[in-house]
Amino acid sequence: MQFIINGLITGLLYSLLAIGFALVYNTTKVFHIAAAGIYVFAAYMFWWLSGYMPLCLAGGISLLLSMGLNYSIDLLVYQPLKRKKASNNIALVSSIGVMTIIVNLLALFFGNEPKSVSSTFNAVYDVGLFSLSQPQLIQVGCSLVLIIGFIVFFLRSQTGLKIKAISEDELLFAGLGYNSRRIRAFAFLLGGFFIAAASCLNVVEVGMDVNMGMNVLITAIVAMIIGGTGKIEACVLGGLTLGLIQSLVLIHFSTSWQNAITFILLLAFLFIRPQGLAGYKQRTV
Amino acid sequence: MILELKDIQLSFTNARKERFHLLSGVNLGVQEGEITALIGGNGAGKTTLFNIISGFQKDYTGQVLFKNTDLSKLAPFQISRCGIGRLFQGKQLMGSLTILENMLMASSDRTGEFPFSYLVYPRFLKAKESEKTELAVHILETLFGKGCKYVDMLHHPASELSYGEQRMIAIARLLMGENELLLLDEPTAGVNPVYNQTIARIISEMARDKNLTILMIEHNMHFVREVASKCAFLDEGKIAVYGETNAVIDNPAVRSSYLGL
Repeated sequence: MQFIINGLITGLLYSLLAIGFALVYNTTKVFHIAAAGIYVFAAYMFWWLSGYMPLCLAGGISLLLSMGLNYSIDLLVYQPLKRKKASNNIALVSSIGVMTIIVNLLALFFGNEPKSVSSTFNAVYDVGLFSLSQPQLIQVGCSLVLIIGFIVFFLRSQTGLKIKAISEDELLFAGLGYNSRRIRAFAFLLGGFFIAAASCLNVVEVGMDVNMGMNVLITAIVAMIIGGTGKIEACVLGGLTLGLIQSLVLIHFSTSWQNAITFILLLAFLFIRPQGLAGYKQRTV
Repeated sequence: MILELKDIQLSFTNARKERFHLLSGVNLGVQEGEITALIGGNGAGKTTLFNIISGFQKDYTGQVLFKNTDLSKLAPFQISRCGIGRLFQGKQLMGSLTILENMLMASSDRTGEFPFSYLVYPRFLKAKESEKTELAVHILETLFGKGCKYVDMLHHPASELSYGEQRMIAIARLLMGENELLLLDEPTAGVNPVYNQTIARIISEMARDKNLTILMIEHNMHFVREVASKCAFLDEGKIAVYGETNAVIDNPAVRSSYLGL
């Protein structure tokens, strides 16, 4: 039972990161690897600021800075490339470059050694069949609020509809009279928020190092694919499934098997159900 | 004139670094309330001309005037908001959106654009959404008859419709906005003869009942004769022949160079 609970909590954090990545990917079709850099940046800002101010305030400022950085990457890298009609592959390579620069700068300023956020959240609560630590409770509470809020927003608001529409066809979207730059900016800002939220909530419990971003991002991307690419809300389903399976793997195998299982699962989905758990086969015309 | 194209020129450089003039001085005036067909061979630059009018192609010289407003500095979404609707070649509806969502996306009523407006005035937005839904149903029933299947399928993903049906809904969708000029890029391409008749009828009705001006690219000459009152033949980068539809199609130069007759 403890494994299942731990897996679901990890799955919620994967879901947050997958939502952040999917918001950018679905809106712009840019494979935003720099999200891994944002993830590390948010963690380090959170850690650094928490030395000067309360944890909540440090988290809030870290979120805002990460949103700004995510938006700046679009403004300074992806949009100029798009204006020059560069392909998405070029954007992908640039994105990897941006991630490397962010990670190296963070290592330069803060050092390579692992760090942890010092907090007073040390209590552990016994709930019958399983126990929950205080950081886990914070992770569950914040993740659920953010995920439910996002799904309601995405399914009910006009902005959600616009994100779905621009994901389908940016040219048609502009042809219908919508400013794609505005919705793009919103996707980067909101994407940065979710990436940073996943990061801050995770490092409260497990700490950080400058190389952690890529591994987590790849897992989140797998979660997005398992859930169903193109359906942002399906990231939650993918994230929970992946978190749960990764955790159950630990019952019989060591942690080093987690990544292997992640990719076996990815391949299995790509072969058997490429549309993902929540996707459906569309008629193509 | 609702739309005037003045000396539109556009050239590209090919793989051998040679300059290639696709459009070399297009002049065309489109009268308000008329249906004008733009015909010409493949690669003549018809769709490029549409891209220039709707702002997707910017590196041209010349002037595009819509109701005497120069469109050259405007982005595609701003041009659309001026009242120019476009049916794209090969692009239909947004497949993962429902038919209703596709119709609503084309509405010119932008209330609720602010991302969190649903939290600020939910009732007002709900009322607005109902109004827009009623308009969408009204348009579908007017064009395809009361109780048509598209009204029953409003909440189905658009991908459930066939190509021809999507094409018809994509044309109907243009009525959701406050459009004055419609640019239709091959409305009947890949559509069966029955739907061709329906499309011919709805385009004529749109022009007549809504006083819309229509400029359309079309290769089906029967369709052009049936629907368009004016016709422009684009050849070698210029409007080579312009006039009454039947006269243009029967013009010996058009018959030999385009129709191969």
